[in-house]
Amino acid sequence: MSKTVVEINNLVKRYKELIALDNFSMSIKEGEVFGLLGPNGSGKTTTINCLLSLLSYDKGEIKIFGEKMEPKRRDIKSRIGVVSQNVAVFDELTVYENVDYFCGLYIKDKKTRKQYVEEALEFVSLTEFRKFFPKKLSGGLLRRLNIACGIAHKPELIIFDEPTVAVDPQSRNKILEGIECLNKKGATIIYTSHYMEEVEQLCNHILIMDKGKKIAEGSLSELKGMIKNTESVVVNIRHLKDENIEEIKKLHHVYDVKYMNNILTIKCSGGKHNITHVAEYLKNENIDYDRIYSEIPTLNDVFLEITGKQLRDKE
Amino acid sequence: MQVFKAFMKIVKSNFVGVILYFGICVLMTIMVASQYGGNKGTRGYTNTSTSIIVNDNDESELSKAVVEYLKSQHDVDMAEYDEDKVKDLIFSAYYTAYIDIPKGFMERHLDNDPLEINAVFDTSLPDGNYVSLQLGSYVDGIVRFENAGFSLSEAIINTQKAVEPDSFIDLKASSKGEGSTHSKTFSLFLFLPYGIMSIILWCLLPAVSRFNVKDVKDRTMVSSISANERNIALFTGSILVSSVVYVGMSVFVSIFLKGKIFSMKWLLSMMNLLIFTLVTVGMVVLISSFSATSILKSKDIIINIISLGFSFLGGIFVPLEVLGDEVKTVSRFLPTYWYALGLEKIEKGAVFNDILGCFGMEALFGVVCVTAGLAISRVTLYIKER
Repeated sequence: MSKTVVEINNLVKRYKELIALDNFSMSIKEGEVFGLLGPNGSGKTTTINCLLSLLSYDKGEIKIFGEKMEPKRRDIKSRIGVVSQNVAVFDELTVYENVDYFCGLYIKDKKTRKQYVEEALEFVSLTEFRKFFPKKLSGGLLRRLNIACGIAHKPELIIFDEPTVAVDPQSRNKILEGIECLNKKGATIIYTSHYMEEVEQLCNHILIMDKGKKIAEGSLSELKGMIKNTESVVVNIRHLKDENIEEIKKLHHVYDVKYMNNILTIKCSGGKHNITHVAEYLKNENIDYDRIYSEIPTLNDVFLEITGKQLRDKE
Repeated sequence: MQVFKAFMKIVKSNFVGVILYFGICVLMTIMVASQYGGNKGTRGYTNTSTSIIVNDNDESELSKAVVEYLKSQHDVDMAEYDEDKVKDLIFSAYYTAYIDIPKGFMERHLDNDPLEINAVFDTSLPDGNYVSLQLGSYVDGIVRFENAGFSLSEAIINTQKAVEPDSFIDLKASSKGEGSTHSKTFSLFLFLPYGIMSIILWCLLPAVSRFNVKDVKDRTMVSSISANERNIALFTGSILVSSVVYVGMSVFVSIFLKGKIFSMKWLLSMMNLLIFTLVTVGMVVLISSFSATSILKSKDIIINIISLGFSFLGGIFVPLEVLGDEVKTVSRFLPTYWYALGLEKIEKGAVFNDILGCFGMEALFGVVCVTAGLAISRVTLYIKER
């Protein structure tokens, strides 16, 4: 049985009347890629800041590598790497000097550090840019530099806080491959992102939080099993009467039907032959259609169904 | 060590700006020093010495005093020549003047029936006239002191003191009101705070702020170095950079002052400058306690407002006497004011306690800056936590 790397128990953090974390608990096992999801203001960043002892908390307990995490626990901190959402590097230092600086905060031995820095640059494919200053780098290269700075000291636990914001698909792909590679090498990963397809691709355990509380947790399939929608049948139809829509709603397992812009979306809960039932109905009613296909719910559907669809920034 | 090294690298990256500000400072100081430059005239005056022949026929106390005085001013050959030979020597420019002190010179002087000293020189040339004037002034000086009740011996000593070049020039400058009454030490030291502020702020403010950018700071804080280690490294770096700037400025000034270094005036002025340098570091602590990103975006404006504003209001660019009362009321809250006032007191030879008072006020400004800076950082942290 794999060891627990991170354990948070009943964490409470208040900002005056606002409860940012409300008895929040989570546990991360060694070797996991742990997806921490939640809408804006849900408490993800507060959780990470508390985890890293950047922020004090009112109640609860945080254990990392089985030991209580405190601001002065340099031994624990030395085993953690952080890749922040914003690029945190020095504009006045070259790519090499930046990685060397952050690596040097952990690794004192010059020879070892040099080797680690070279490996980190190699890992993010920035070797040829080693003498460049950050201002000369593109957005994608900057993100990769940001990652190199966070992982150069070979941490056992790496926290990626939205590392792919505002990067092109090629760079994003490179970053995701890198994270997978780090995980294969043994690192435990905490990954936060608003890009659900990334989380779906990377994470083997996902926690969704909202308003400082854990709402759902589990593997991707477990999360999908938690929502009502198990399948969406989509049909391209040019003409459809209201009475037909009402009749489709009455089909077995169907709980929601929408018809917009010649696209009929039928949401089903349970059932294994929903697409067949819909196709049969359309045939029986002599309704012509161009295409019919089935969609299984994505993490995005899970997320929206669990956290709701209203905008959070307006709250 | 890692933080310190990165800090120094960032400081180094601002080197072009340092050269620029140092250049401005050097240029300004030279211009102002030459404008004040009373001492430049002094050197030209006192260094004018010529070769003359003196023939002392009297060999009395008074004649010997005259000879000693002339020796202190010129290259004197003691010899006796006839009139034709003297004219030949002066015409051929071997000598500027021939001074012949007649026998009985002192005796007749004491009898209030003085004998004239015979001075032969080319009246069309300034040097001979200059020697003659010096001689006349010296003898007149002795007479005046005697008339004031001093004995001949005392009159000779007092006159000797009175005709010393420095006191003569100082008297001349202040009585006529030409140029500055301030010494070169004062003039050169007065303009250094502008350079100190500009260079130190230029070097330290971006470097410290860069380390205070939230994400960089957080990334450093989650590493295995402690907050204290980081702060000590930044503080050490700041002190080292400030020391280099201080030493650089001091060497620069000392080159101009040459023989006047290690005088009490110089030492006190150096102490004044050292306190001001430390106060500037305190200003860095205060400014960098505000939003690092905003500081980095507007560092040029901040540096120029502070260095120019403090210099104009504090009596660095404009003499304190010229500042209006309302302006002075504001100026009293600036370290530059107390620096300039301290320098003024050093210049006038005020009692040490007075000078110390100015140093204290300057230092107080630094202490207030550091305290306020730390308080703001604490409050910011508190707000972040709450």
